[in-house]
Parts: sequence; structure tokens; C-alpha cells
Amino acid sequence: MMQLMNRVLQDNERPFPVLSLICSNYQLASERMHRPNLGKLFSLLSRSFEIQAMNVSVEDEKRPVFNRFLERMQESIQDDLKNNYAAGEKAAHAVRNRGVLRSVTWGKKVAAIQNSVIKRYIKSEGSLVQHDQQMYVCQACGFIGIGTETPDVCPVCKAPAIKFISLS
Amino acid sequence: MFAARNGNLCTKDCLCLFICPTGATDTENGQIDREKCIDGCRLCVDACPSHAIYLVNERYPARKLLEAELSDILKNLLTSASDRWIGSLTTAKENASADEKSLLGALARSNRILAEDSIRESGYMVPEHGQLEDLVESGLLQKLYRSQFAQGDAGGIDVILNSILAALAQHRDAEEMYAALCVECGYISVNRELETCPHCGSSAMESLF
Repeated sequence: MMQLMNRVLQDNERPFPVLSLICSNYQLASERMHRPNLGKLFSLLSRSFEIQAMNVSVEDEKRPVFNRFLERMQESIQDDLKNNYAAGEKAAHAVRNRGVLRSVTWGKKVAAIQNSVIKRYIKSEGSLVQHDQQMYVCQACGFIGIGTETPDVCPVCKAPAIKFISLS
Repeated sequence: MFAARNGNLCTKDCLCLFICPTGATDTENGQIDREKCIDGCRLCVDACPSHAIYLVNERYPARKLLEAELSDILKNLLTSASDRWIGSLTTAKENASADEKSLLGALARSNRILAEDSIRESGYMVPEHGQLEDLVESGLLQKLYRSQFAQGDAGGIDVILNSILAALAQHRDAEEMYAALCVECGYISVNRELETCPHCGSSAMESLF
């Protein structure tokens, strides 16, 4: 099978982040299947490949400064919104793959929110999160929120508030 | 199939204790005793007034293969989100203020979740569905790991993978084993305790189990 990994490597793209994420997915699945030791082994592999991915990325290019990085991030998000998410919605509709349709529907909303958070951060000159506020991320879909309190359910994927983790 | 309890939903009405014929639901750690649980019995699942108990399967059916066109699109989404994930992590590591770190932390997590979702939809959801086995059999995963640790003993990766595949083949959890990770370079050491990483010399070795 190996379809995804083959393509990632054929196109000479970066394999280490992908290996890390395959393993973290399997870690999560193992924990949910009540196989904690298996989860730990996958977590070890996932972290090892994540560290390797970071070290390789540093060797590849000089780390961009923060502002330049945010600009590149916005370009990447906008490209996804314009091309990949639009194409994904169309193709998933065409073959009635509702799993992929779900993934791109959530992903598109989350990417748009990431873009808006970056825009607001730049506009506020870094003081986006007020003292009584926190920034939080939904662990189910990636939604980023800012506020004094979290909502009861995630506005993107409807996961309960227990899935939010605070960043500040 | 064995029963498990979701502690976030359990309202401690204890009807599972009333009905369980083996006492498996009454434990000090809040989880159901798997050794005592009767395969597929589900009396506690049906008795629970707050739907806090469910059955966990040992075997999972194979998934339908993804259409090639969708696979390409998911690959593109995966690549851009994972670049944003690793980019946020590396940028945060260097000279970032507290506000910058917090933003980059949120962006790293959010993009990591997007990338993970694309991978799951590409068929990498359940470890025993065969994709991992194919990946290990092809030697690709080991080759990539070894490319980073050419000088030292890179055998740790094989021990970990063998342990994972053995567990998956038998539809059970893995055995406990000693393993440590160097959090500086990602080197994996198994079965012997090391003070410093043999690859990069760092003393930041974190052990598992």
C-alpha cells in the first residue's frame, strides 16, 4: 500500500515530520484502544522523528526571523485556502468521500482562523492576548481561540471544552 | 471485547458494580479490571445510567482505500501544514519573546493537528491496518532513521519496531521495555541505561516506562 509515504518521498519532500505524525496518530489510536505500552513506543518514535525534523529544518536553511516567518505562514495558509482546500472539497464531493469532506471542511475553517489570528497579532503589535485572556487550541480540530473563558463546545468541530488546551 | 470507563462521564451511581458478575468494575484506579472482565458481556455498558462505559475491541476491520485524486490533495495539505508546524517550532526556539512564543505555540499545535488529520484520512489511522507493516518491511523508516545516526549504533529503532509489530500481530498491548530518547538529537537507546547520548553527547536522555 504505502501510497502516502511513497508520494512524500518520490516528490523529495520532507519525510521526518510525516513519520513523526504517522507515529503520533498511532500513539493516539493505541491509547484509545487501551494499549498504553504500544502508545509509549509510538510516542518515542514520534518524538524522535519530530526532533530530527527540527534539526534537519535548521540545517536546510537559516531560520527566518519571526516577522518574516509569519509572512511565509500567511502565504502558505492562503495558498491552501485558495487551491488545496477548494480542490479537496470539490473532489471529495465528486466521489462522495464524506470522511475527506469532513477533514477539509474543518481544515479550511481552522486555516482561515490561523490566518486571522496572525493578521490580528501583527495589527496589535504583539499585544493580541490581554492580561485576563488566554489563547487556546482545540486538540480535536486545531481551532485557535482567544478569550477570558472557553466556549462549552468547539465552534468548528463541536468537541467538548475538555479538548481545549491553554497556551498562556 | 472488554469494557472501559470514561471517567469524565461517570456519575458514580455504581450500577455497574451492582450488575457485574465478576467484580471487574470495582477497582481502586477507576478503570475496569480487564483480567476479570468477561469477553463481550456488556451488562455494565447497558446498566450505566450515564453512558460512561463502552466496549473496546481487540480487532479492527480494514479500511477502504482512498481514491488517488484525494490522496494527492491530502498530501499537499499535509505537506504545507507540517511545514508550518515544524517552522513554528524552530522559530519559537530562537530569540522569541513570550508573546511570540505563545502565538507560535498555538500555531504549531493547530498545524500539527491539521497535518495529523490529513494523515489519518490518508489511511494511517489504526496501527494494525497494514500500512505500518509495509513501511517497516520496505526498510524506509529504518533507513531514514539511520541516515541521521550513521556514526553510532542505530539498532534501537529495530528493537522498538519489532516490539510494535509483534504486539500488532497478536492484537494486544506491547511488552514493557527499557528505552530512552535523546531530546537533543532524537537518538533512541534500548535495553541499557545511558548517562549521555552516544550520538551527540547530550545528557538530556529521557527514559520510557
